[in-house]
Amino acid sequence: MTTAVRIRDLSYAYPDGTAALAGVNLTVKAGATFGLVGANGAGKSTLLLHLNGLLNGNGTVEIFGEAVTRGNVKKIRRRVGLVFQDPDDMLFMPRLEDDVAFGPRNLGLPDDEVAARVRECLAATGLEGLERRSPHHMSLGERRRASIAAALALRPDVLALDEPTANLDGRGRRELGELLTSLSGTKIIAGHDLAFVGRLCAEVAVLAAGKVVAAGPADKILQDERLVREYGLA
Amino acid sequence: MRHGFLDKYSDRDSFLHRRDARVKIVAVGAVLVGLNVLRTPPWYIPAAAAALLAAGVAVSRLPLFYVFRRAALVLPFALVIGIFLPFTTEGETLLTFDVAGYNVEVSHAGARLYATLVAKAYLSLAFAALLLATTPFGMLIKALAWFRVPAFFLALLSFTYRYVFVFVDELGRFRRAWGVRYFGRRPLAQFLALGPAVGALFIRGYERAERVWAAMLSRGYDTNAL
Repeated sequence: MTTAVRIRDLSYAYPDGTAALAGVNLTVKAGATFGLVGANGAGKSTLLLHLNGLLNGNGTVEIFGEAVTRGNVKKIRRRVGLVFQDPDDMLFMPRLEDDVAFGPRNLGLPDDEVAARVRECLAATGLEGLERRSPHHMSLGERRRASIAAALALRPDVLALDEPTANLDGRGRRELGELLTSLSGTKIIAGHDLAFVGRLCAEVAVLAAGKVVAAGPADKILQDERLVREYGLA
Repeated sequence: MRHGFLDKYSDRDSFLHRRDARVKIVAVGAVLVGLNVLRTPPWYIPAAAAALLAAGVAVSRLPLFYVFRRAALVLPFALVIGIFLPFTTEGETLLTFDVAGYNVEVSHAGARLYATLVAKAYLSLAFAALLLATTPFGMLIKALAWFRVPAFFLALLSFTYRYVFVFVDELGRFRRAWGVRYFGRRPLAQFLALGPAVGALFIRGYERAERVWAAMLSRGYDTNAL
């Protein structure tokens, strides 16, 4: 089976000296839905920012065998879609359709192709009819799905989501789960919502203090009460 | 939080809502130039503008006083800015006061200048409010792009529009957090605490800007595009 993401010995310290990642090793198979769990401050978000070259730490990050470098970030960013935790960071245009069109337009696609992708992504995320809506007129659940639509518009091979269930109510979580299940491709779900990750992901890795401290089948790892408690997940 | 204090009614349907945004921009622009080009226009110019505004509001199907209330926001500024005009403009005397032994004169021309200034400011803002209330902001940006307004300026405008709502939300949360711990004592100490609070808001805004920038780059934004 091909490997979607391979991370080797990745370390990163923020400019103020705080070490966020301290030698991460991780492999995600192509087509898998992979859970990246860890307590607040474990380094999940920092790790995700390395997947498309927004941050460049020491070590290697490979996407489908291609190492992420400063030279190929454009290509990598087309292949890796990041969905940030706060939809207000992702949705920065006055209208939803412009937000979804933002990525395809940056690719330089012709207008009809851009419009087709917008329709396709809004349909996939159940947001048809909200094209002209402003983000501040949408619910959090809608905005979260809109962030996913915006990332999907680039047709990424890997979709990485940071805390996708944060602040969502029951229905929002259920709808998000159904949406993610319906999407093909490799997905990485970062967070500490163990029930959600457990339901969607076959494999998980536990991140603590910038290191992968456990990895394996989700049912085995997430059931390990001692482990889960030790790393601040329960 | 859901709100829309800027464009609450822009997605309604009416004769004005259905007009092309470009036409509305040109029309409002023409009215603003006509209204403001003369320092003291003859009385019928502001009167005609007011009539046009009333007609516009009538066919816009907006709540009756919405536009008038919006435009009233400019009144404090206009009233304060022009406050000395009646006294400092030379001309035929209209009124004289006795203030603490000084003789203060209000000239006819000054009073008229003042009234005109306030009317022009009020009417101008009312037309802008009418335009905003009958045109979705996205359409406005598209129309401005058609008029070849530079992309950098449009990006600035649409980010401002988008994040003013986020900022107001943040401010609202902040005020509530303040409210639950404020018991009306020691006003000076409370006032001094405002500085760090404003600083905190600034830092939050700065950090958000960095995250938005990261989100833009993630979706293939070309840094040379602007």
